[in-house]
Amino acid sequence: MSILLKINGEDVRLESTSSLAEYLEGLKLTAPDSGVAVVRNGEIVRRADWGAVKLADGDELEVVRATQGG
Amino acid sequence: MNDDDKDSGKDSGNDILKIGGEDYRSRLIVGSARYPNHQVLLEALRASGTELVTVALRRVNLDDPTGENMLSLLRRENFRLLPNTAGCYTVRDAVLTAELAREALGTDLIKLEIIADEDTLYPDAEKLLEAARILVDKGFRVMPYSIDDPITCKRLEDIGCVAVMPLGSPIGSGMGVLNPYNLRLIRDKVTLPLIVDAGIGTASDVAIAMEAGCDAVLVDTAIAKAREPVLMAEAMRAACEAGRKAFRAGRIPRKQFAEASSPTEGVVRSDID
Repeated sequence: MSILLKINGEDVRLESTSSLAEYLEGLKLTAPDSGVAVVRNGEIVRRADWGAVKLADGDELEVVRATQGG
Repeated sequence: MNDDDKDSGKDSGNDILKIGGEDYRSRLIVGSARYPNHQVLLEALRASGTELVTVALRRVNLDDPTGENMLSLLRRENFRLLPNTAGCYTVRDAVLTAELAREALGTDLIKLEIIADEDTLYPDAEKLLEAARILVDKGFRVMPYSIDDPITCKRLEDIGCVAVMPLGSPIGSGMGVLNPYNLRLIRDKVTLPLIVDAGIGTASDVAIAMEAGCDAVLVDTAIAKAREPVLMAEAMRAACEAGRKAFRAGRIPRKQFAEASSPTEGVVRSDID
Protein backbone atom coordinates (compact mmCIF):
# COMPACT_ATOMS: atom_id res chain seq x y z
CA MET A 1 0.00 0.00 0.00
CA SER A 2 1.47 3.32 -1.01
CA ILE A 3 1.55 6.40 1.18
CA LEU A 4 1.31 10.06 0.25
CA LEU A 5 3.55 12.57 2.00
CA LYS A 6 4.34 16.21 1.60
CA ILE A 7 8.12 16.67 1.43
CA ASN A 8 9.58 20.14 1.05
CA GLY A 9 6.17 21.36 -0.04
CA GLU A 10 5.72 18.75 -2.79
CA ASP A 11 3.47 15.71 -2.87
CA VAL A 12 5.60 12.58 -2.80
CA ARG A 13 4.17 9.07 -3.12
CA LEU A 14 6.20 6.23 -1.63
CA GLU A 15 5.41 2.67 -2.61
CA SER A 16 5.86 1.15 0.79
CA THR A 17 6.12 2.31 4.35
CA SER A 18 9.78 2.92 5.00
CA SER A 19 11.81 4.45 7.76
CA LEU A 20 13.04 8.01 7.48
CA ALA A 21 16.60 6.65 7.32
CA GLU A 22 15.72 4.43 4.35
CA TYR A 23 14.09 7.32 2.52
CA LEU A 24 17.11 9.59 3.08
CA GLU A 25 19.48 6.78 2.15
CA GLY A 26 17.69 6.62 -1.21
CA LEU A 27 18.56 10.29 -1.70
CA LYS A 28 22.16 9.68 -0.52
CA LEU A 29 21.75 12.18 2.29
CA THR A 30 22.82 10.15 5.29
CA ALA A 31 26.58 10.70 5.28
CA PRO A 32 27.73 12.17 8.62
CA ASP A 33 29.00 15.35 6.93
CA SER A 34 25.96 15.79 4.67
CA GLY A 35 24.77 18.73 6.80
CA VAL A 36 21.18 17.54 6.60
CA ALA A 37 18.42 18.01 9.16
CA VAL A 38 14.79 16.93 9.10
CA VAL A 39 11.55 18.30 10.47
CA ARG A 40 8.60 15.87 10.61
CA ASN A 41 5.18 17.31 11.33
CA GLY A 42 6.75 20.36 12.93
CA GLU A 43 9.24 18.51 15.12
CA ILE A 44 12.94 18.04 14.45
CA VAL A 45 13.91 14.39 14.15
CA ARG A 46 17.36 13.87 15.61
CA ARG A 47 19.78 12.00 13.38
CA ALA A 48 19.99 9.19 15.92
CA ASP A 49 16.24 8.63 15.53
CA TRP A 50 16.11 8.53 11.73
CA GLY A 51 16.16 4.72 11.71
CA ALA A 52 13.35 4.40 14.23
CA VAL A 53 10.91 6.82 12.59
CA LYS A 54 8.46 5.12 10.19
CA LEU A 55 7.01 7.41 7.57
CA ALA A 56 3.23 7.45 7.56
CA ASP A 57 0.51 8.57 5.19
CA GLY A 58 -0.03 12.32 5.48
CA ASP A 59 3.36 13.10 7.07
CA GLU A 60 4.85 16.48 6.29
CA LEU A 61 8.63 16.56 6.04
CA GLU A 62 11.12 19.35 5.65
CA VAL A 63 14.52 18.09 4.55
CA VAL A 64 17.09 20.87 4.72
CA ARG A 65 20.82 21.16 4.36
CA ALA A 66 23.54 23.75 4.74
CA THR A 67 24.12 25.67 1.56
CA GLN A 68 25.49 28.99 0.34
CA GLY A 69 24.56 31.85 2.64
CA GLY A 70 25.72 35.28 3.75
CA MET B 1 32.81 41.41 33.91
CA ASN B 2 36.16 39.70 33.56
CA ASP B 3 34.88 37.21 31.04
CA ASP B 4 33.18 40.00 29.13
CA ASP B 5 36.42 41.95 29.03
CA LYS B 6 38.21 38.92 27.69
CA ASP B 7 35.49 38.48 25.09
CA SER B 8 35.77 42.03 23.82
CA GLY B 9 38.69 41.05 21.62
CA LYS B 10 40.40 44.38 22.24
CA ASP B 11 44.16 44.84 22.23
CA SER B 12 45.61 41.65 23.59
CA GLY B 13 49.32 41.15 22.98
CA ASN B 14 48.93 38.80 20.04
CA ASP B 15 45.58 40.31 19.06
CA ILE B 16 43.38 37.25 19.13
CA LEU B 17 39.65 37.74 18.62
CA LYS B 18 37.47 35.70 20.95
CA ILE B 19 33.86 34.99 20.01
CA GLY B 20 31.76 32.76 22.23
CA GLY B 21 34.85 31.19 23.79
CA GLU B 22 36.61 30.45 20.50
CA ASP B 23 39.80 32.12 19.28
CA TYR B 24 40.20 33.67 15.85
CA ARG B 25 43.30 35.16 14.28
CA SER B 26 41.40 36.51 11.29
CA ARG B 27 38.95 39.34 11.81
CA LEU B 28 37.12 38.74 8.57
CA ILE B 29 34.03 36.59 8.55
CA VAL B 30 33.11 35.69 4.99
CA GLY B 31 29.80 34.62 3.49
CA SER B 32 29.55 31.75 1.03
CA ALA B 33 26.68 33.04 -1.14
CA ARG B 34 26.54 34.44 -4.65
CA TYR B 35 29.93 33.22 -5.94
CA PRO B 36 30.17 32.22 -9.61
CA ASN B 37 31.06 28.64 -8.60
CA HIS B 38 32.52 26.54 -5.81
CA GLN B 39 36.08 26.85 -7.10
CA VAL B 40 36.02 30.66 -6.95
CA LEU B 41 34.34 30.47 -3.56
CA LEU B 42 37.10 28.30 -2.16
CA GLU B 43 39.89 30.39 -3.64
CA ALA B 44 38.32 33.59 -2.35
CA LEU B 45 37.88 32.14 1.13
CA ARG B 46 41.51 31.08 1.18
CA ALA B 47 42.67 34.49 -0.06
CA SER B 48 40.59 36.28 2.58
CA GLY B 49 42.35 34.41 5.37
CA THR B 50 39.00 33.88 7.09
CA GLU B 51 38.44 31.16 9.63
CA LEU B 52 34.65 31.52 9.94
CA VAL B 53 32.29 31.12 7.00
CA THR B 54 28.54 31.72 7.01
CA VAL B 55 26.11 29.23 5.51
CA ALA B 56 22.33 29.14 5.13
CA LEU B 57 19.89 26.26 5.58
CA ARG B 58 17.60 25.51 2.70
CA ARG B 59 15.32 22.75 1.50
CA VAL B 60 17.14 19.96 -0.33
CA ASN B 61 16.26 19.85 -4.03
CA LEU B 62 14.59 16.43 -4.17
CA ASP B 63 15.20 16.19 -7.90
CA ASP B 64 18.93 16.65 -7.44
CA PRO B 65 19.67 15.85 -3.80
CA THR B 66 23.43 15.37 -4.14
CA GLY B 67 24.10 18.22 -6.55
CA GLU B 68 24.81 20.95 -4.07
CA ASN B 69 27.13 19.68 -1.39
CA MET B 70 29.25 22.70 -0.62
CA LEU B 71 29.64 21.64 2.96
CA SER B 72 32.20 18.90 2.41
CA LEU B 73 34.37 21.42 0.53
CA LEU B 74 34.28 23.85 3.45
CA ARG B 75 34.89 21.11 6.00
CA ARG B 76 37.86 19.77 4.04
CA GLU B 77 39.51 23.20 4.34
CA ASN B 78 38.81 23.35 8.08
CA PHE B 79 36.69 26.47 7.99
CA ARG B 80 34.47 26.88 11.02
CA LEU B 81 30.84 27.36 10.09
CA LEU B 82 28.42 30.07 11.12
CA PRO B 83 24.89 29.09 10.05
CA ASN B 84 22.40 31.89 9.63
CA THR B 85 18.64 32.28 9.83
CA ALA B 86 18.53 34.43 6.71
CA GLY B 87 15.13 34.74 5.09
CA CYS B 88 13.21 34.29 8.34
CA TYR B 89 10.47 36.82 9.10
CA THR B 90 9.14 35.29 12.32
CA VAL B 91 10.56 34.33 15.69
CA ARG B 92 9.20 30.81 15.22
CA ASP B 93 10.95 30.27 11.88
CA ALA B 94 14.22 31.74 13.13
CA VAL B 95 14.23 29.51 16.22
CA LEU B 96 13.35 26.43 14.14
CA THR B 97 16.08 27.26 11.61
CA ALA B 98 18.63 27.69 14.40
CA GLU B 99 17.66 24.30 15.83
CA LEU B 100 17.91 22.71 12.38
CA ALA B 101 21.34 24.26 11.93
CA ARG B 102 22.49 22.87 15.25
CA GLU B 103 21.24 19.44 14.26
CA ALA B 104 22.66 19.61 10.73
CA LEU B 105 26.06 21.06 11.55
CA GLY B 106 26.68 20.22 15.18
CA THR B 107 27.33 23.83 16.15
CA ASP B 108 25.42 26.01 18.59
CA LEU B 109 26.78 29.16 16.95
CA ILE B 110 24.01 30.98 15.09
CA LYS B 111 23.87 34.20 13.15
CA LEU B 112 20.37 35.32 14.06
CA GLU B 113 18.62 37.29 11.35
CA ILE B 114 14.95 38.23 11.38
CA ILE B 115 14.00 40.42 8.47
CA ALA B 116 11.23 43.00 8.76
CA ASP B 117 10.89 44.34 5.27
CA GLU B 118 11.73 43.14 1.76
CA ASP B 119 12.95 46.44 0.34
CA THR B 120 15.48 47.30 3.02
CA LEU B 121 16.03 43.81 4.47
CA TYR B 122 16.22 45.70 7.74
CA PRO B 123 16.14 43.56 10.85
CA ASP B 124 13.05 43.48 13.05
CA ALA B 125 14.42 44.71 16.39
CA GLU B 126 11.48 43.56 18.50
CA LYS B 127 11.42 40.01 17.13
CA LEU B 128 15.20 39.87 17.21
CA LEU B 129 15.29 40.50 20.96
CA GLU B 130 12.59 37.91 21.55
CA ALA B 131 14.27 35.26 19.42
CA ALA B 132 17.67 36.03 20.97
CA ARG B 133 16.24 35.42 24.46
CA ILE B 134 14.74 32.09 23.40
CA LEU B 135 17.91 30.91 21.68
CA VAL B 136 20.20 31.96 24.53
CA ASP B 137 17.90 29.99 26.88
CA LYS B 138 18.24 26.99 24.58
CA GLY B 139 22.02 27.15 24.86
CA PHE B 140 22.87 28.77 21.54
CA ARG B 141 25.76 31.16 21.10
CA VAL B 142 23.84 33.90 19.37
CA MET B 143 25.35 36.42 16.96
CA PRO B 144 22.47 38.76 16.14
CA TYR B 145 22.27 40.86 12.99
CA SER B 146 20.81 44.19 14.13
CA ILE B 147 20.37 47.80 13.20
CA ASP B 148 23.26 50.10 14.13
CA ASP B 149 21.52 51.26 17.28
CA PRO B 150 23.55 51.29 20.50
CA ILE B 151 20.45 50.64 22.63
CA THR B 152 19.43 47.51 20.72
CA CYS B 153 23.02 46.28 20.75
CA LYS B 154 23.28 46.86 24.51
CA ARG B 155 20.06 44.92 25.07
CA LEU B 156 21.36 42.06 22.95
CA GLU B 157 24.49 42.02 25.11
CA ASP B 158 22.37 41.98 28.29
CA ILE B 159 20.35 39.05 26.96
CA GLY B 160 23.54 36.99 26.68
CA CYS B 161 24.48 37.06 23.01
CA VAL B 162 28.15 36.36 22.20
CA ALA B 163 28.60 39.25 19.75
CA VAL B 164 26.68 42.16 18.29
CA MET B 165 26.46 42.53 14.53
CA PRO B 166 25.05 45.87 13.46
CA LEU B 167 24.68 46.65 9.78
CA GLY B 168 26.87 49.22 8.06
CA SER B 169 24.13 49.76 5.46
CA PRO B 170 21.47 47.48 3.94
CA ILE B 171 22.42 43.91 3.00
CA GLY B 172 23.96 43.69 -0.45
CA SER B 173 23.79 47.47 -0.97
CA GLY B 174 27.56 48.02 -0.98
CA MET B 175 27.03 51.48 0.52
CA GLY B 176 29.61 50.87 3.23
CA VAL B 177 29.44 52.20 6.76
CA LEU B 178 26.88 54.99 6.52
CA ASN B 179 27.04 55.95 10.17
CA PRO B 180 30.48 55.47 11.69
CA TYR B 181 29.38 57.69 14.57
CA ASN B 182 26.86 55.03 15.63
CA LEU B 183 29.53 52.35 15.46
CA ARG B 184 31.65 54.37 17.84
CA LEU B 185 28.67 54.78 20.18
CA ILE B 186 28.08 51.02 20.09
CA ARG B 187 31.78 50.49 20.74
CA ASP B 188 31.47 52.62 23.87
CA LYS B 189 28.30 50.89 25.10
CA VAL B 190 29.08 47.25 24.41
CA THR B 191 31.98 45.09 25.55
CA LEU B 192 31.05 42.10 23.38
CA PRO B 193 32.81 41.61 20.04
CA LEU B 194 31.41 44.20 17.66
CA ILE B 195 31.12 42.96 14.09
CA VAL B 196 29.88 45.00 11.17
CA ASP B 197 27.54 42.79 9.20
CA ALA B 198 26.17 43.95 5.86
CA GLY B 199 26.69 46.85 3.53
CA ILE B 200 30.42 46.53 2.84
CA GLY B 201 31.15 47.57 -0.76
CA THR B 202 34.90 47.71 -1.01
CA ALA B 203 38.12 47.48 0.98
CA SER B 204 38.05 51.01 2.44
CA ASP B 205 34.67 50.28 4.04
CA VAL B 206 36.28 47.46 5.98
CA ALA B 207 39.13 49.73 7.08
CA ILE B 208 36.66 52.40 8.25
CA ALA B 209 34.78 49.86 10.35
CA MET B 210 37.96 48.50 11.89
CA GLU B 211 39.34 51.98 12.57
CA ALA B 212 36.08 52.80 14.38
CA GLY B 213 36.95 50.02 16.81
CA CYS B 214 35.00 47.12 15.42
CA ASP B 215 36.43 43.71 16.26
CA ALA B 216 35.59 42.08 12.95
CA VAL B 217 33.71 42.56 9.71
CA LEU B 218 31.43 40.18 7.82
CA VAL B 219 31.64 40.39 4.04
CA ASP B 220 29.87 38.39 1.37
CA THR B 221 28.48 40.15 -1.71
CA ALA B 222 31.34 42.65 -1.96
CA ILE B 223 33.73 39.75 -2.56
CA ALA B 224 31.43 37.32 -4.36
CA LYS B 225 30.15 39.89 -6.87
CA ALA B 226 33.42 41.74 -7.46
CA ARG B 227 34.74 41.41 -11.00
CA GLU B 228 37.62 39.40 -9.55
CA PRO B 229 36.43 37.85 -6.29
CA VAL B 230 39.78 36.35 -5.29
CA LEU B 231 41.62 39.64 -5.75
CA MET B 232 38.90 41.45 -3.79
CA ALA B 233 39.21 38.88 -1.01
CA GLU B 234 42.91 39.75 -0.76
CA ALA B 235 42.05 43.45 -0.66
CA MET B 236 39.51 42.89 2.11
CA ARG B 237 42.05 40.98 4.13
CA ALA B 238 44.65 43.73 3.78
CA ALA B 239 42.11 46.44 4.64
CA CYS B 240 40.94 44.54 7.69
CA GLU B 241 44.49 44.13 8.95
CA ALA B 242 45.37 47.76 8.17
CA GLY B 243 42.25 49.11 9.87
CA ARG B 244 42.82 46.97 12.93
CA LYS B 245 46.44 48.08 13.24
CA ALA B 246 45.46 51.73 12.82
CA PHE B 247 42.86 51.37 15.57
CA ARG B 248 45.38 49.77 17.91
CA ALA B 249 48.03 52.34 17.04
CA GLY B 250 45.70 55.24 17.87
CA ARG B 251 45.05 57.89 15.25
CA ILE B 252 46.08 61.54 15.72
CA PRO B 253 43.33 64.00 16.62
CA ARG B 254 41.74 65.93 13.79
CA LYS B 255 42.63 69.64 13.77
CA GLN B 256 41.02 72.66 12.22
CA PHE B 257 44.26 74.15 10.84
CA ALA B 258 47.55 73.02 9.40
CA GLU B 259 50.48 72.09 11.60
CA ALA B 260 53.90 71.99 9.91
CA SER B 261 55.58 68.64 10.09
CA SER B 262 59.15 69.82 9.31
CA PRO B 263 60.95 71.85 12.05
CA THR B 264 60.02 75.54 12.08
CA GLU B 265 63.45 76.47 13.55
CA GLY B 266 66.52 77.02 11.32
CA VAL B 267 64.73 77.54 8.06
CA VAL B 268 67.04 79.18 5.45
CA ARG B 269 66.06 82.81 4.87
CA SER B 270 67.39 84.89 1.97
CA ASP B 271 68.05 88.60 2.79
CA ILE B 272 67.51 89.64 -0.78
CA ASP B 273 64.09 91.17 -1.38
